[in-house]
Amino acid sequence: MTDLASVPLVFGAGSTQGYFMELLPAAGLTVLISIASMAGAIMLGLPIALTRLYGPAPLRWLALLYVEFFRGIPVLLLLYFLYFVLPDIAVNYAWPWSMKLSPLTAAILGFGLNYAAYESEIYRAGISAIPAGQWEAAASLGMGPALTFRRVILPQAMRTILPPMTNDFVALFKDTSVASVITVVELNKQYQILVNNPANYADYLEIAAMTAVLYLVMSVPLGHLSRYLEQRWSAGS
Amino acid sequence: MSITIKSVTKRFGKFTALDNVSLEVPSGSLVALLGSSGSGKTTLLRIIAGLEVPDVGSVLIQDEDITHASAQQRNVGFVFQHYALFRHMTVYENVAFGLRVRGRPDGQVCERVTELLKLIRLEGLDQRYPGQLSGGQRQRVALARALAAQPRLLLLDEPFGALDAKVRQELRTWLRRLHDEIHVTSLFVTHDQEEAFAVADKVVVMQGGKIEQMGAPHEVFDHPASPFVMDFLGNVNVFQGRVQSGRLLLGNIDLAAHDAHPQEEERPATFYVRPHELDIKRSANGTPSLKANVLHLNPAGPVTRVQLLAVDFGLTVHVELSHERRAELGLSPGDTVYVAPRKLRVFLPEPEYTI
Repeated sequence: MTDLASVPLVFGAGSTQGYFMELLPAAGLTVLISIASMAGAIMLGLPIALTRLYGPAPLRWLALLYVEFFRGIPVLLLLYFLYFVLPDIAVNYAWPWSMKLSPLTAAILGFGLNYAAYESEIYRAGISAIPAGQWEAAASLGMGPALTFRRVILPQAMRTILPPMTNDFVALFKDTSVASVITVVELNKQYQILVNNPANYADYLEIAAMTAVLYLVMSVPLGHLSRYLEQRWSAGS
Repeated sequence: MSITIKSVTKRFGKFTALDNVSLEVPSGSLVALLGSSGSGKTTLLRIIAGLEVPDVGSVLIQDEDITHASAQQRNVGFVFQHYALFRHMTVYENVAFGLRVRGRPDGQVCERVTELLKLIRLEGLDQRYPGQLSGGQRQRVALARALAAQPRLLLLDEPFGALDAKVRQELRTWLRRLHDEIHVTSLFVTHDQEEAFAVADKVVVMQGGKIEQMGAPHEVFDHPASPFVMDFLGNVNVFQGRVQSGRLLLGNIDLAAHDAHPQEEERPATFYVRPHELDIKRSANGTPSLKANVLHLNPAGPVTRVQLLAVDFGLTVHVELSHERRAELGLSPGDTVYVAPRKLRVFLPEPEYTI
């Protein structure tokens, strides 16, 4: 047993500033992956939800298949497939183009495809919660279905859509640590690299605390943003 | 503009909501569709609005066949029972909606919305959201929204159904006045006969997907066409009696009927009497009457409601007396009195024939 009090907290090969400068770019990468894949998921999720709700039968089944598939497989497996397996398949079957993706592209694509399935379900729930009377009222006032969706249905659905979507964003933010398996050096990976270096052993607590603080300073404001958006969108109700 | 419904039938699965219904609504009138739930009144309204498509039959506005036009193309104002206001938009934007859809310039929109807000007496609340208004205010906004783009017709689905009694009365009077000012052909659905009579020029009574009777409120009330209409339009006492040689027979009551059953042969018949068409007397004195015991007196309200038991029939009878008449009689529970009908209505069932 080590007596905790005897472990020097700020003592080691690197300096506090040194660790921070190594962790910071990794944190930037975490943010980049989160934002890029969430943006993709939000954009892809809406057409999937719309297809499931209003599309013709065969397309509706395809959309359902998409949701079930990407919700059903672990994102880890998806990243492996995109980064390691897909290029091999392309080579083995002599595809005319290479499927070799950069680790970052593979990560963004994988998380984007995976989260699009979740986001589409959130969209679908929010949209179907709007009473039919809203469609009917807009139609009787002379508005067509596409414009009604944009001006009447979606803005009202957003207030039920936003909170779970922001939640998902926070979840994705932490999920990005999985990207380390395809060699992306994001925040969690950088932390591992630092603590596994015997030279830094004495500072492991400091490095862990710094990593945790970095995750927190990024995710806590997201929670506030979520509450702010909820209030803004629910004006008047 | 006038509305013409030609032999419209609408089924939902096995349920027939409308069964070969035809109706003519004259231009500029205010018509009530009256019936209990499941009578088809709302379905008929929604078919006129283009929110449902009839299985058979056609719908015309003026002379234009709109059976297959979408709701969007019809230019028909619709007011929903639960308002269906756009809750993410201000009162102003809700009312302006129909004008903006039609691409009216801002100046024109502003002018029309201001005019309508004045009409519904909600000036100054234009920047509120629907969630910040009372039920009555919301329904007025819904009405202004429906009227904004000068619709050809105004359709209202149980417009006051979700409001409390007082607000309902106010809005009902207000709707009548509004209609007298703007004269848009209006059709409203209600299950409240009092509301229909208070507001409408013409009442259409519906039951089981069919029209039972239509006419001016006093015509329908005074000359109900069927037992259903009689029963539906307020409280009624029902007696089982007989008819013979043009006379209505009930206990020792024997009244001449104008046109009912002139035949010698006696047959059973059901008599309908409204509570205010019965009088109470202390002694029979030769007037045709039923002997009854007073069970209960309820003097609250504009009239005294008296509940009696007709001794010879074992039947509860309801009578409405003016407070003066009650005071004159000095009634109290337990008294034995005589109930005399001023009027008896009879609906003879179709005679059954055997081959």
